[in-house]
Amino acid sequence: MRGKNIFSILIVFCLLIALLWTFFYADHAIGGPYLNSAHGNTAYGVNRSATATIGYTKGHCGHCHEQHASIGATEPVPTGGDASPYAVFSNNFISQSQNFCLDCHKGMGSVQMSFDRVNYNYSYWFGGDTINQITPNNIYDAMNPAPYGCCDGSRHDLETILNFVKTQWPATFKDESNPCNACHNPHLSQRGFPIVRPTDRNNIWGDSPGEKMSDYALAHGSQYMAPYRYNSTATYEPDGSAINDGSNVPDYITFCSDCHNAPNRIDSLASLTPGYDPDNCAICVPREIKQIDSGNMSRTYGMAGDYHGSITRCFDVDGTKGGVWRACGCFKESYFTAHPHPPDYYTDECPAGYARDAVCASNTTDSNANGIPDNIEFGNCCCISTTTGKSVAFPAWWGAIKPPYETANYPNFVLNCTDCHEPHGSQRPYLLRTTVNGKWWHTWTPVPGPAPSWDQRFCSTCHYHYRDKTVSTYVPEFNVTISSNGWHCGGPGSCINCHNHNSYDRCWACTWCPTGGVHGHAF
Amino acid sequence: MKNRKFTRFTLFVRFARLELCKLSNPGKLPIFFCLLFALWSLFSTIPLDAKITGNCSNCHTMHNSQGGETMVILGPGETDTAPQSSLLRASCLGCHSKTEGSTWKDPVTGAPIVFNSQQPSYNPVMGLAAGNFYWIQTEDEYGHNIFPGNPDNTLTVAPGNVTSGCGVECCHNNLYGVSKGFGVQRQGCSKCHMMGNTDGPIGYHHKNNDAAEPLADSADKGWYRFLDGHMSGSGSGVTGVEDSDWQATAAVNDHNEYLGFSGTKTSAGGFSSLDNTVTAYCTGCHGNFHIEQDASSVWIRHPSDGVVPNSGEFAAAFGASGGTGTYDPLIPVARPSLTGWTGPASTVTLGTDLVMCLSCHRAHASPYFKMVRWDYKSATLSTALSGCLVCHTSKN
Repeated sequence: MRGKNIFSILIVFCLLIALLWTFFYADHAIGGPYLNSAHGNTAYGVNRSATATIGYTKGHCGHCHEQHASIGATEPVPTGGDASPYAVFSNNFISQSQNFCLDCHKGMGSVQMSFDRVNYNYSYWFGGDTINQITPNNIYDAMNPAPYGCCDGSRHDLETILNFVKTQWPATFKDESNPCNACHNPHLSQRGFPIVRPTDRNNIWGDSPGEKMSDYALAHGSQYMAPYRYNSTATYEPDGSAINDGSNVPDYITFCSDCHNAPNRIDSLASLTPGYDPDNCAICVPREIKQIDSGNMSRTYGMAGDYHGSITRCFDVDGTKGGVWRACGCFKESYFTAHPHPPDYYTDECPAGYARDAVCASNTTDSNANGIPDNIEFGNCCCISTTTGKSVAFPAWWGAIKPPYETANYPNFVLNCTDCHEPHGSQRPYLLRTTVNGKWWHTWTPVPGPAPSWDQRFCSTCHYHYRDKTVSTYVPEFNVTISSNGWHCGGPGSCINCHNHNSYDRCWACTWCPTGGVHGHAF
Repeated sequence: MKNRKFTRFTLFVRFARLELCKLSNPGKLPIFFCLLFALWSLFSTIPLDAKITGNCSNCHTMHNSQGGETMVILGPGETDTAPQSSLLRASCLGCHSKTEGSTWKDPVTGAPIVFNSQQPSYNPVMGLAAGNFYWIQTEDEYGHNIFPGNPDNTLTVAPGNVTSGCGVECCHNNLYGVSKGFGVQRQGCSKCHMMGNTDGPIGYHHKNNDAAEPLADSADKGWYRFLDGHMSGSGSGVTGVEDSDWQATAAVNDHNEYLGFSGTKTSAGGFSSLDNTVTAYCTGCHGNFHIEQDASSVWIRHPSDGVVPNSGEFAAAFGASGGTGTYDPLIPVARPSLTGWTGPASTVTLGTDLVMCLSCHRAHASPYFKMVRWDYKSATLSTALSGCLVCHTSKN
């Protein structure tokens, strides 16, 4: 009798578990990989107008594949051309604008009956900017962005992608492959998890434990801090929740590194579309894409990687190291007097106890050919202590980090690729987002000084720049107080000239880093 | 694998059937033979002969007159009682149709019923192996349009047809029109069956294809279901192993077997390039559909007579494990060779067996769009794709 009761309880328990499973995981109970995919979804899956009219239900394979290159002896729209590889309804790939996927994923002229969810860009859906990011509203436009300015704009160039992947993984990608498949699997990708690694075509990336940004951070001795959602200081990307540790966002670093890695520097070979001023933009030179070496140890100070944020291993979020301003080179002659000061260029103007660096002074480079070496004429040489034989570091404001990174105050930040980059295209170069860390790039508080460049605005969504802070520090060696008030080591200009992937050999940002070498990571 | 449902009852049943034919007047049927008939029905899985046996008068009439009545057996919708060619008592439909939906075999002649004018009800698929022409009475898209008064409302020529020069109404262009081919006026059924390559229809009904040798692989045996072509002479016909009840019942070990040939993928097919396969026969009218690959060997149309790979998602096709799956009569495959076969196999060998036209389509008609074997246009997606998923296992 007792055994019977236990059996009954077990049965009820199992039924209860099954019921709860069905309730909580209804989407996953629908079917297998395809029926759980975005294209195979019965409510919002693929639905070509011409085949929907025939009566094919949403998600039907016949919306994309014509088994006999026709239906009922006629070719459903879109018509024309020969039978296409993989029996899809149009040529898989011809160009950036002629692409099977884009036949549906476009605005005007889409052969898809309707979209349940508009294909806005990353900044809209995951950045939360539903105000400024209402365009592009389809993948075609995202992949073919209207340049914001002369030679602006960037796109994940489909021809470049196809050439790369079919060379890199010839068993997977062929001449007839669709370059979109390098990142997506149309039979697998889901609305919430659209990406599939080119090295692992049969698994969605980012949906499972171990594939989150928090996992990457943990594995690389780092900490991830999600950027703010648009116009918020309390919610975060990608879902507008209070979660900010990366446990709810795919590890895009690993994903992107399948292609963008040390041996593969993938320059964009596409000719950029001239901007709005054709007279001045007749020739736009394809951009060089910096190599991203995720295995480089020297860029992240003891941990392999080449990611933005790693400089915090060397400096604090306020721009100091243990409360001390970072060095921006050394005290030079020019800091103590106005140059040029003809005719006495050669007078050593270093303070008492210091002397002009003799090695520097011996350099005869004379760029203006006036007979005065540049280093002498412009006071470029450091003042060397006559006692110690060493120079004195010049402290300067390097730009602190804004919230939420400042608040987090992690000593080892790592950022996700999509925190800065749009996956498909941008009106700006390098696929850079125009809404970053909760701010649209146009939203920038004017400060004294020249108008900022667009990339200064971009970077200032997370970084204080020399314009933002008035700082001063006392330098006992020279008994002076340096009021930087906008000082930026290296001078103003385009941020990305110095700060970019692989910029470990640029500028002086990490001179003080104990393990960073003379020239450390400037990114 | 090749052990046919051929038992020691066979000779006994043959004898019974012979006696039944001799005593075709029911009034004289002794109880003994009634008992035999009952036993026969009971063991109805015992193989039948494709060759027609029985009283000549079942099918032929000398004067089209008996007791002042015409002897013509009319099929559904037929009204012409004039004498038929070859002294036959009926058109094709006269013998192979019923006005109700429960009969799949004529109890007198043993003819398979391919057209029930009422919805077939004798099995779950509502038709024999090739389906049932019931479904095209109102839906052109559900089958081959064989009825003379019912041309396709949309198609003017067979889709995928690449044959030209044989006339508007020739067999390759449509089935409902009347044309003269190989000595006789052909329409409907006879545009596919009993073509022959010489004048006049070949009397395949009398060929010696019997239960002991269900493999039909020559003109002498009437080919498979009398499907004979003329492309390259007498060697042009379809090879297959015929199920004893034409799949009125079907199971993993109870079904037809079809020949396949993994040959050209870039031509319109035909017997000369695809051997004696049923796919080759289909390409006679739908050859363009067999241009399946481009110059890079990438599929541009769904394969027909393409080997089902034992790799990727296909490694699990037909529930396979280790390269061997379970045969599914709903999604039949073709075998690369049927030499020596005497009956159906219950397995599918991945990497060897082939997907073919009939893997997806029924030859006559089905209850579904484009003669597909499952409801390809179902509003329920999993149902619409159910047949596809047998091979494309990751698309579930």
